[in-house]
Amino acid sequence: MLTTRGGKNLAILGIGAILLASCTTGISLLIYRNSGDIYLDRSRPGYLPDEEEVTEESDVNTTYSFPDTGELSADELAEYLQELKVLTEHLADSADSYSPDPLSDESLGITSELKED
Amino acid sequence: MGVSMRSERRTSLAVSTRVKMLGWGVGVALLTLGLCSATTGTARAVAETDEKPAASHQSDQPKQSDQLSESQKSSIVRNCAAIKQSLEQLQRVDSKTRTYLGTTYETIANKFITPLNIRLVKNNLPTLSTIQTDFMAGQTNFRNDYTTYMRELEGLIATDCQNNPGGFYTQLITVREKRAQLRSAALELMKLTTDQYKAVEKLKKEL
Repeated sequence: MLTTRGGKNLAILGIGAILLASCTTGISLLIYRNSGDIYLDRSRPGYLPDEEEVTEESDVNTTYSFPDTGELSADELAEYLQELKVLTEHLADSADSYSPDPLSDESLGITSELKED
Repeated sequence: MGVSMRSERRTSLAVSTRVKMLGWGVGVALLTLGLCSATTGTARAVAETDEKPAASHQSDQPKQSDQLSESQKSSIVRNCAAIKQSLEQLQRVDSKTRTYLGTTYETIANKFITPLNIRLVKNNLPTLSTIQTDFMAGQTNFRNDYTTYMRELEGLIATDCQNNPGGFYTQLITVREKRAQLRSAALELMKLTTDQYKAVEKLKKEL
Protein backbone atom coordinates (compact mmCIF):
# COMPACT_ATOMS: atom_id res chain seq x y z
CA MET A 1 0.00 0.00 0.00
CA LEU A 2 2.75 2.41 1.08
CA THR A 3 4.92 1.44 -1.90
CA THR A 4 2.05 2.06 -4.35
CA ARG A 5 1.24 5.49 -2.84
CA GLY A 6 4.93 6.42 -2.87
CA GLY A 7 5.15 5.33 -6.50
CA LYS A 8 2.18 7.51 -7.48
CA ASN A 9 3.57 10.48 -5.61
CA LEU A 10 6.90 9.99 -7.31
CA ALA A 11 5.16 9.86 -10.67
CA ILE A 12 3.26 13.08 -9.88
CA LEU A 13 6.49 14.73 -8.78
CA GLY A 14 8.24 13.58 -11.95
CA ILE A 15 5.45 14.80 -14.25
CA GLY A 16 5.25 18.09 -12.35
CA ALA A 17 9.00 18.59 -12.63
CA ILE A 18 8.95 17.84 -16.36
CA LEU A 19 6.04 20.24 -16.90
CA LEU A 20 7.73 22.97 -14.92
CA ALA A 21 11.08 22.47 -16.68
CA SER A 22 9.42 22.45 -20.13
CA CYS A 23 7.52 25.62 -19.35
CA THR A 24 10.48 27.55 -17.95
CA THR A 25 12.61 26.44 -20.92
CA GLY A 26 9.84 27.55 -23.28
CA ILE A 27 9.61 30.92 -21.56
CA SER A 28 13.41 31.36 -21.76
CA LEU A 29 13.41 30.55 -25.48
CA LEU A 30 10.54 32.97 -26.10
CA ILE A 31 12.40 35.76 -24.32
CA TYR A 32 15.61 34.82 -26.18
CA ARG A 33 13.77 35.05 -29.49
CA ASN A 34 11.57 38.09 -28.87
CA SER A 35 14.35 40.19 -27.36
CA GLY A 36 16.31 39.71 -30.60
CA ASP A 37 19.28 38.12 -28.82
CA ILE A 38 18.91 35.10 -31.07
CA TYR A 39 20.02 37.23 -34.02
CA LEU A 40 23.10 38.49 -32.19
CA ASP A 41 24.16 35.04 -31.02
CA ARG A 42 27.03 33.64 -33.07
CA SER A 43 27.24 30.43 -31.04
CA ARG A 44 24.25 28.97 -32.91
CA PRO A 45 24.97 26.07 -35.26
CA GLY A 46 25.77 27.42 -38.73
CA TYR A 47 26.76 30.81 -37.36
CA LEU A 48 29.97 29.89 -35.56
CA PRO A 49 32.94 32.06 -36.59
CA ASP A 50 35.47 30.29 -38.78
CA GLU A 51 39.25 30.44 -38.36
CA GLU A 52 39.84 33.22 -40.92
CA GLU A 53 37.24 35.34 -39.22
CA VAL A 54 38.90 34.94 -35.81
CA THR A 55 42.19 36.24 -37.33
CA GLU A 56 40.34 39.19 -38.92
CA GLU A 57 38.68 40.03 -35.60
CA SER A 58 41.96 39.94 -33.72
CA ASP A 59 43.30 42.41 -36.30
CA VAL A 60 40.46 44.80 -35.46
CA ASN A 61 40.71 44.34 -31.71
CA THR A 62 43.58 46.70 -31.13
CA THR A 63 45.37 46.50 -27.81
CA TYR A 64 45.71 50.27 -27.85
CA SER A 65 43.62 52.18 -25.35
CA PHE A 66 43.87 55.91 -24.88
CA PRO A 67 44.87 56.64 -21.24
CA ASP A 68 42.26 58.75 -19.45
CA THR A 69 44.71 60.43 -17.05
CA GLY A 70 47.64 62.80 -17.33
CA GLU A 71 48.53 65.95 -19.23
CA LEU A 72 47.31 65.99 -22.83
CA SER A 73 50.09 66.28 -25.42
CA ALA A 74 50.22 66.56 -29.22
CA ASP A 75 52.36 63.39 -29.43
CA GLU A 76 49.72 61.37 -27.62
CA LEU A 77 47.04 62.72 -29.93
CA ALA A 78 49.20 61.82 -32.92
CA GLU A 79 49.36 58.21 -31.70
CA TYR A 80 45.62 58.33 -31.03
CA LEU A 81 44.97 59.48 -34.60
CA GLN A 82 47.24 56.82 -36.03
CA GLU A 83 45.41 54.05 -34.17
CA LEU A 84 41.99 55.50 -34.94
CA LYS A 85 42.89 55.76 -38.62
CA VAL A 86 43.40 51.98 -38.79
CA LEU A 87 39.90 51.38 -37.46
CA THR A 88 38.40 54.08 -39.68
CA GLU A 89 39.96 52.38 -42.70
CA HIS A 90 38.56 49.02 -41.59
CA LEU A 91 35.13 50.63 -41.31
CA ALA A 92 35.47 52.32 -44.70
CA ASP A 93 36.31 48.95 -46.27
CA SER A 94 33.12 47.43 -44.92
CA ALA A 95 31.01 50.59 -45.09
CA ASP A 96 28.74 49.18 -47.75
CA SER A 97 28.37 45.72 -46.25
CA TYR A 98 24.62 46.17 -46.13
CA SER A 99 24.27 47.41 -49.68
CA PRO A 100 20.96 46.69 -51.44
CA ASP A 101 22.65 44.61 -54.18
CA PRO A 102 22.30 41.11 -52.67
CA LEU A 103 18.52 41.59 -52.39
CA SER A 104 18.01 43.03 -55.86
CA ASP A 105 15.82 41.23 -58.37
CA GLU A 106 18.84 40.56 -60.56
CA SER A 107 20.89 39.00 -57.73
CA LEU A 108 18.02 36.77 -56.67
CA GLY A 109 17.28 35.74 -60.25
CA ILE A 110 13.85 37.38 -60.44
CA THR A 111 13.15 38.50 -64.00
CA SER A 112 12.56 42.24 -63.86
CA GLU A 113 9.88 42.63 -66.48
CA LEU A 114 7.26 44.88 -64.89
CA LYS A 115 3.64 44.97 -66.01
CA GLU A 116 2.95 47.64 -68.54
CA ASP A 117 0.43 50.07 -67.06
CA MET B 1 -14.16 -3.25 15.77
CA GLY B 2 -11.35 -0.91 16.89
CA VAL B 3 -9.03 -2.37 14.30
CA SER B 4 -11.52 -1.82 11.47
CA MET B 5 -12.06 1.83 12.58
CA ARG B 6 -8.30 2.40 12.60
CA SER B 7 -7.91 0.86 9.15
CA GLU B 8 -10.84 2.98 7.87
CA ARG B 9 -9.19 6.12 9.29
CA ARG B 10 -5.88 5.12 7.62
CA THR B 11 -7.66 4.56 4.32
CA SER B 12 -9.43 7.92 4.52
CA LEU B 13 -6.11 9.61 5.44
CA ALA B 14 -4.41 7.95 2.49
CA VAL B 15 -7.22 9.06 0.17
CA SER B 16 -7.11 12.64 1.44
CA THR B 17 -3.29 12.71 1.04
CA ARG B 18 -3.65 11.45 -2.55
CA VAL B 19 -6.32 14.05 -3.27
CA LYS B 20 -4.10 16.77 -1.80
CA MET B 21 -1.11 15.59 -3.86
CA LEU B 22 -3.22 15.46 -6.98
CA GLY B 23 -4.55 18.92 -6.21
CA TRP B 24 -1.00 20.25 -5.83
CA GLY B 25 0.03 18.58 -9.06
CA VAL B 26 -2.91 20.02 -10.98
CA GLY B 27 -2.34 23.40 -9.33
CA VAL B 28 1.32 23.51 -10.36
CA ALA B 29 0.46 22.37 -13.88
CA LEU B 30 -2.28 25.01 -14.23
CA LEU B 31 0.01 27.70 -12.83
CA THR B 32 2.79 26.83 -15.27
CA LEU B 33 0.35 26.62 -18.16
CA GLY B 34 -1.09 30.00 -17.15
CA LEU B 35 2.39 31.49 -17.01
CA CYS B 36 3.18 30.02 -20.40
CA SER B 37 0.05 31.37 -22.05
CA ALA B 38 0.53 34.77 -20.41
CA THR B 39 4.10 34.96 -21.69
CA THR B 40 3.08 33.78 -25.13
CA GLY B 41 0.37 36.43 -25.15
CA THR B 42 2.82 39.14 -24.15
CA ALA B 43 5.34 37.91 -26.69
CA ARG B 44 2.69 37.92 -29.37
CA ALA B 45 1.66 41.44 -28.36
CA VAL B 46 5.31 42.55 -28.50
CA ALA B 47 5.75 40.89 -31.88
CA GLU B 48 2.57 42.54 -33.14
CA THR B 49 3.76 45.94 -31.88
CA ASP B 50 7.09 45.38 -33.62
CA GLU B 51 5.37 44.34 -36.78
CA LYS B 52 2.99 47.29 -36.87
CA PRO B 53 5.27 49.53 -38.93
CA ALA B 54 5.95 46.66 -41.29
CA ALA B 55 2.22 46.01 -41.52
CA SER B 56 1.57 49.66 -42.29
CA HIS B 57 4.20 49.41 -45.02
CA GLN B 58 2.51 46.29 -46.24
CA SER B 59 -0.73 48.17 -46.70
CA ASP B 60 1.09 50.03 -49.47
CA GLN B 61 2.88 46.93 -50.64
CA PRO B 62 0.08 45.08 -52.45
CA LYS B 63 0.29 47.74 -55.16
CA GLN B 64 3.93 46.79 -55.70
CA SER B 65 3.27 43.07 -55.52
CA ASP B 66 0.27 43.55 -57.83
CA GLN B 67 2.72 45.02 -60.31
CA LEU B 68 4.59 41.76 -60.18
CA SER B 69 4.45 40.44 -63.70
CA GLU B 70 3.64 36.87 -64.57
CA SER B 71 7.23 36.31 -65.68
CA GLN B 72 8.47 37.57 -62.29
CA LYS B 73 6.03 35.32 -60.45
CA SER B 74 7.06 32.34 -62.50
CA SER B 75 10.75 33.11 -62.02
CA ILE B 76 10.19 33.27 -58.24
CA VAL B 77 8.43 29.90 -58.33
CA ARG B 78 11.03 28.40 -60.65
CA ASN B 79 14.07 29.67 -58.69
CA CYS B 80 12.45 29.30 -55.26
CA ALA B 81 15.04 26.87 -53.88
CA ALA B 82 17.98 28.89 -55.25
CA ILE B 83 16.53 32.16 -53.89
CA LYS B 84 16.09 30.63 -50.45
CA GLN B 85 19.64 29.30 -50.51
CA SER B 86 20.97 32.76 -51.45
CA LEU B 87 18.95 34.34 -48.63
CA GLU B 88 20.23 31.82 -46.08
CA GLN B 89 23.79 32.50 -47.20
CA LEU B 90 23.16 36.24 -46.98
CA GLN B 91 21.81 35.76 -43.45
CA ARG B 92 25.09 34.10 -42.40
CA VAL B 93 27.27 36.74 -44.09
CA ASP B 94 25.23 39.56 -42.51
CA SER B 95 25.60 37.94 -39.11
CA LYS B 96 29.39 37.84 -39.51
CA THR B 97 29.45 41.45 -40.69
CA ARG B 98 27.40 42.55 -37.70
CA THR B 99 29.86 40.89 -35.31
CA TYR B 100 32.78 42.55 -37.11
CA LEU B 101 31.17 45.99 -37.17
CA GLY B 102 29.80 45.66 -33.63
CA THR B 103 33.26 44.80 -32.26
CA THR B 104 34.81 47.74 -34.10
CA TYR B 105 32.16 50.17 -32.80
CA GLU B 106 32.68 48.89 -29.24
CA THR B 107 36.44 49.37 -29.58
CA ILE B 108 36.03 52.91 -30.92
CA ALA B 109 33.59 53.87 -28.16
CA ASN B 110 35.42 52.28 -25.23
CA LYS B 111 39.07 52.73 -26.19
CA PHE B 112 38.97 56.01 -28.11
CA ILE B 113 35.95 58.27 -27.68
CA THR B 114 35.15 57.81 -23.96
CA PRO B 115 38.74 57.91 -22.57
CA LEU B 116 39.55 61.02 -24.63
CA ASN B 117 36.52 62.86 -23.27
CA ILE B 118 37.43 61.88 -19.69
CA ARG B 119 40.94 63.17 -20.33
CA LEU B 120 39.62 66.42 -21.76
CA VAL B 121 37.42 66.95 -18.69
CA LYS B 122 40.37 66.30 -16.38
CA ASN B 123 42.46 68.81 -18.37
CA ASN B 124 39.67 71.41 -18.30
CA LEU B 125 39.38 71.39 -22.08
CA PRO B 126 36.17 71.45 -24.15
CA THR B 127 34.93 67.88 -24.67
CA LEU B 128 33.63 66.10 -27.78
CA SER B 129 30.55 64.96 -25.90
CA THR B 130 28.13 65.47 -28.82
CA ILE B 131 29.99 62.91 -30.90
CA GLN B 132 30.08 60.53 -27.93
CA THR B 133 26.32 60.84 -27.33
CA ASP B 134 25.53 60.47 -31.02
CA PHE B 135 27.85 57.48 -31.30
CA MET B 136 26.17 55.70 -28.37
CA ALA B 137 22.73 56.41 -29.87
CA GLY B 138 24.01 55.22 -33.25
CA GLN B 139 25.18 51.94 -31.73
CA THR B 140 21.74 51.37 -30.21
CA ASN B 141 20.06 52.18 -33.55
CA PHE B 142 22.40 49.83 -35.38
CA ARG B 143 21.64 47.00 -32.93
CA ASN B 144 17.87 47.57 -33.16
CA ASP B 145 17.89 47.94 -36.94
CA TYR B 146 19.90 44.77 -37.27
CA THR B 147 17.47 42.81 -35.08
CA THR B 148 14.46 44.12 -37.03
CA TYR B 149 16.13 43.37 -40.36
CA MET B 150 17.08 39.85 -39.30
CA ARG B 151 13.55 39.18 -38.05
CA GLU B 152 12.10 40.26 -41.39
CA LEU B 153 14.72 38.29 -43.32
CA GLU B 154 13.86 35.20 -41.31
CA GLY B 155 10.20 35.83 -42.12
CA LEU B 156 11.10 36.08 -45.80
CA ILE B 157 12.97 32.78 -45.70
CA ALA B 158 9.98 31.18 -43.99
CA THR B 159 7.54 32.51 -46.64
CA ASP B 160 6.44 29.89 -49.14
CA CYS B 161 7.72 31.25 -52.45
CA GLN B 162 6.50 28.19 -54.32
CA ASN B 163 2.80 28.71 -53.55
CA ASN B 164 2.76 32.39 -52.62
CA PRO B 165 5.15 34.35 -54.88
CA GLY B 166 3.16 37.59 -54.39
CA GLY B 167 3.43 37.41 -50.60
CA PHE B 168 7.08 36.50 -50.90
CA TYR B 169 7.79 39.55 -53.06
CA THR B 170 5.88 41.82 -50.66
CA GLN B 171 8.01 40.51 -47.78
CA LEU B 172 11.13 40.96 -49.92
CA ILE B 173 10.28 44.65 -50.35
CA THR B 174 9.92 45.00 -46.54
CA VAL B 175 13.30 43.30 -46.04
CA ARG B 176 14.89 45.69 -48.53
CA GLU B 177 13.53 48.66 -46.56
CA LYS B 178 14.88 47.25 -43.28
CA ARG B 179 18.25 46.60 -44.91
CA ALA B 180 18.34 50.19 -46.15
CA GLN B 181 17.69 51.40 -42.58
CA LEU B 182 20.48 49.18 -41.27
CA ARG B 183 22.83 50.48 -43.95
CA SER B 184 22.08 54.09 -43.06
CA ALA B 185 22.74 53.29 -39.35
CA ALA B 186 26.13 51.79 -40.28
CA LEU B 187 26.97 54.77 -42.51
CA GLU B 188 25.99 57.18 -39.72
CA LEU B 189 28.44 55.48 -37.34
CA MET B 190 31.10 55.61 -40.04
CA LYS B 191 30.47 59.36 -40.42
CA LEU B 192 30.70 59.89 -36.64
CA THR B 193 34.03 58.06 -36.54
CA THR B 194 35.34 60.35 -39.28
CA ASP B 195 33.98 63.37 -37.37
CA GLN B 196 35.85 62.21 -34.26
CA TYR B 197 39.03 61.84 -36.29
CA LYS B 198 38.69 65.36 -37.71
CA ALA B 199 37.85 66.85 -34.29
CA VAL B 200 40.95 65.27 -32.70
CA GLU B 201 43.08 66.46 -35.61
CA LYS B 202 41.82 69.99 -34.97
CA LEU B 203 42.44 69.62 -31.23
CA LYS B 204 46.00 68.46 -31.91
CA LYS B 205 46.67 71.57 -33.97
CA GLU B 206 45.32 73.78 -31.20
CA LEU B 207 47.56 72.25 -28.52
